[in-house]
Amino acid sequence: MESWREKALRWIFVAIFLAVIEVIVRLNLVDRIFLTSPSLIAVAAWDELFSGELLSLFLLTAYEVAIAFIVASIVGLCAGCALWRYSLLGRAYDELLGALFASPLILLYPIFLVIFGRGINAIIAMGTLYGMIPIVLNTHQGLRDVDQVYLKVGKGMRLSERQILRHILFPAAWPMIIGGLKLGLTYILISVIALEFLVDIGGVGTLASKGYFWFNTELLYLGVVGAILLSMLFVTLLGKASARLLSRE
Amino acid sequence: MARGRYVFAFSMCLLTILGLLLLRAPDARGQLQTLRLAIPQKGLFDTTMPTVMADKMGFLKEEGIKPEIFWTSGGAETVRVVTAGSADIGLATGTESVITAFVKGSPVRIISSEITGSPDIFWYVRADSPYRAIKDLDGKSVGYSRPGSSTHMILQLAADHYKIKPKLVSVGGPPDSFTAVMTKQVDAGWSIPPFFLDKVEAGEIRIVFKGAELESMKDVSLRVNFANADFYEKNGKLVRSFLKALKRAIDYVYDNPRETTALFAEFNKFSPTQAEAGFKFYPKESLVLSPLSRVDFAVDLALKLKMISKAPTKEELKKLIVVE
Repeated sequence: MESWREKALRWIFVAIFLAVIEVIVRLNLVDRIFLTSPSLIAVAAWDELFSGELLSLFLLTAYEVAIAFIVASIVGLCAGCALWRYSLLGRAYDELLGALFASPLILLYPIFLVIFGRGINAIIAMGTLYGMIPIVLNTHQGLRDVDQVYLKVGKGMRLSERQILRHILFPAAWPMIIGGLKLGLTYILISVIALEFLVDIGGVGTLASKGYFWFNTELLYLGVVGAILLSMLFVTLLGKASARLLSRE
Repeated sequence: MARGRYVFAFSMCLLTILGLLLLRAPDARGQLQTLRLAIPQKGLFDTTMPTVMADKMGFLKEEGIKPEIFWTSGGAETVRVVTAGSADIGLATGTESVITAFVKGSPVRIISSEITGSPDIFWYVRADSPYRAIKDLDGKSVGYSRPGSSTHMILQLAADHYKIKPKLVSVGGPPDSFTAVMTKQVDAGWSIPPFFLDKVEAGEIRIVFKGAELESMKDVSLRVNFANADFYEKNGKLVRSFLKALKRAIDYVYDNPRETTALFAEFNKFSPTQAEAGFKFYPKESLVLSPLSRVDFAVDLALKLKMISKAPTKEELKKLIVVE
């Protein structure tokens, strides 16, 4: 459980950071084309919220991220298990996936636009691919690292393969799998918002794009704030879900 | 003994100073001042050729300028690079973008026009498309590069002029636009010569609209050259020298079309025929550096696109525009 001191320390830092930016902008120490004050961003947020656009953009990005995350998690977990179960597959694909993970897959976006059309389907597909790789790798790694003694004990107790998977393997590998899911979520958020910015389709990324190209710094940072809020929302939800699963086990 | 050592040390110091002075003298006489130029869209005729030719023919050197070129992806980046002081002068940037940056407090000064009218940009469809003219694109998806760009501006004006309501789609640069058209992501895309003129020749795509067809834009300074205000205050003479060299280069470009076409082809790895076809899109009068005309048009557009909330005053425009 988080202590009030930890929370206070975190929010004090955020408050000081925002106050420093507010002062820097108000004293005209930096050009408004590069940086704007939090109070002006709040005003822009209020206006956009009032017009209804901000909420719809935020929900659209949330929808894209959620769908991409669900698909990436299902496919990633299954693929990770398959790599562990069939060691030949694991040895064949582990390094390849690692190399793919390190490469700038975002550059493939024109191909996704061609295959999935110029719409949110392309963004979801790109996000799924980006998020799936760390989930596969971490699931594989987590299952592989489970201590053989536990498995021997399970077998000694005549547990079925399904029971071993449920009661021994997954609980032991869960921290690693959760790490993969968090990493996958982060990559999905980055790719979804980057693609929205690049192709001007979708949610908060388009808001940032409009702000950048029209020199509307408030809109630009509103897009950034939207992305941060979404990230916080999804990470919190994932944290709660994993805590609940762990407590059950 | 000690006196001898002092005399020797003194002589050596004197010789070193003399040597340094002698070494520095020719440098000082022939020293060139570095001018950092931010140029968008590397390779386009109007944005690139005058400066490249000015450099190649030594016009910039004759004016005491050593160019240091930064290539940028477009107007928004160019404005930011110049505002931050990373570049001294930004070339070929949308007039409404520079006005918007100025209104929002950025230290910029418009030093010359860059292109007047829109002789270059064109829109095309696939050869098997049923659309023959821009009027047919009512309700259809039509690509432009980026919000607030020249293509966005022209497309909106064309839509107003022809009383159509196309669905405007931001597709990026000419290669992205071509991919979007050929894979039917959009019904029409944009390009700038000589990019994809060979596809027009080959009958793969068909031009449906040229920016030059818009009468209302013929005398509008669509893009401008601008400088960082602090740099301009301190180096006004250098900026004027740069413009002088640029004007000389533009004259040279049109007086020597063969050489220009060859350079244009070599720079972009085009065939000479393709480069020649591209060059023909640009009449000399479109590249005049002054006067800067119809600024009101750019201001109205920035207001219409909600890039600015109120028009700059006459005094503010006088401060912004320093075109001679």
